[in-house]
Amino acid sequence: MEVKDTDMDLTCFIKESNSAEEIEALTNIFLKFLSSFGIDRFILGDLSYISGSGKGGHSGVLVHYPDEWLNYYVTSRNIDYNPVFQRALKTRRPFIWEEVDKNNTHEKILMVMDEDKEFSFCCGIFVPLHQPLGKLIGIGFSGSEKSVCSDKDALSLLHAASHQFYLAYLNITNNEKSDGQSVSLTDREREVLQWIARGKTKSEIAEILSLSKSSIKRHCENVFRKLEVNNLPSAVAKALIMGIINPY
Amino acid sequence: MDLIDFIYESNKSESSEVLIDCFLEFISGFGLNRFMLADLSHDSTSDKEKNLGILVNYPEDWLTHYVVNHYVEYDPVYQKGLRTRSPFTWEEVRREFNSKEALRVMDEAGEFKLCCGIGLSIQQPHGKIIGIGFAGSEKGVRCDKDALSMLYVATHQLYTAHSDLLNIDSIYKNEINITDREREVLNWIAFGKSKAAIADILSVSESCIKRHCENMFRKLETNNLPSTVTKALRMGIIDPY
Repeated sequence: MEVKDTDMDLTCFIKESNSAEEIEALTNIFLKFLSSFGIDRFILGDLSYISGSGKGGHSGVLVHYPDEWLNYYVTSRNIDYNPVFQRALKTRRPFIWEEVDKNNTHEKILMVMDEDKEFSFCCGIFVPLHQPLGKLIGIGFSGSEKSVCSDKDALSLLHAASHQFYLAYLNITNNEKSDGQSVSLTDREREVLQWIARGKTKSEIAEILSLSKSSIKRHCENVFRKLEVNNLPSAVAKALIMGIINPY
Repeated sequence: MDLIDFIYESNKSESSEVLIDCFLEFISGFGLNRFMLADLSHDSTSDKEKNLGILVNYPEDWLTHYVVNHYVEYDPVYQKGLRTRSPFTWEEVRREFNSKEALRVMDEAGEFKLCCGIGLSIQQPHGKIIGIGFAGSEKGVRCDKDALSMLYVATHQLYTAHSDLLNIDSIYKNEINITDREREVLNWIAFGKSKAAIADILSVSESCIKRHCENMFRKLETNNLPSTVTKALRMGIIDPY
């Protein structure tokens, strides 16, 4: 499928999206880019909340009608996201919604958003965007051009643009601000906690670092105080979430 | 070669060599001439070292030096890759990680003509992380926001195209099956509750809670609570806060 010259290409989309200062502007820029693929709507959802419990819940979903919130419609109409979610969990590539969605969930969702408008739906593409700590963001696209779904280059461009969109989105919503700034562990404290996270006992860590066991205990106590926790599992959890220690 | 050309060319590449050449041509436009793609998702130093070079053209002698000195544990670019979502420059990383060991790694890299660079990571399903470092041998590396974005999406494309060439399955199976109850218990553990307190909250016996923990140790191949929390969190199995 040829991208028309008058439309916004990927390089241009990157430049424009990086300069957007508000979500609405960013959304419009994305829609402009998408229009050259015959895609006219998208849904961005945080799928982390459907973790295996089989319930369909959403949080912070962005749709390109700023006033609509998908959550209301999803819960009131019992829409089951599970098949799409299960597939998204296991792959980092875009996939065609219809491959996994036997219950036409996608159509239902878009129909409830568009109840009083006429709506043509030909092709649905889903792009999973895996995030740190197993979190999962997904973008669902739909449009009137079936050819997008089978064109490898078009899917690659869409995949690329989705990643860029989400990076720009995070930038605007300032989610990258590290919480770690407000808590300051010393290098040694961080080192000890990293070994704890890897499963070592205090005695083992004492040996690894050539320190006494009571020294290690003292570092742990300082960590508890700074992280406002009172045991090792929660110290590890908090430090991982705040980006103070590494997952590996 | 611009970004869109790289995407088209990479989709047509018929071998890894052609793909890598394409990528090198693309990154040269940013003043970069070296890159290394590594699988960061390993617990032990030696496993990390075994997985350093999925795709790499860093100088051999630098890689040998890096492994012999176990720089995976000190290299701030590697360490940052483990916890970041966005692309970053080596300049930023020098400011953030200013321990003696970290700066030594960066300085020594310079001696091997890896002077300025960029790092980023690709998150994969089930908590796995692919890290990529780029380097240039001169000062004129393009590090503006748009450049970082282009490198970021190009790297995603590179990894996808490379996986296609190697016929690597794009579906990552996960054999680990934590039950809802086990997940509930582990969430409370990660939140800081003791086993006794959790037994109270869920109206079960403490030995029941102990049994759930033991099952999780077996499934996640761990033998204590902190490492179980680490593994479960990085895979997205729990979300305590």
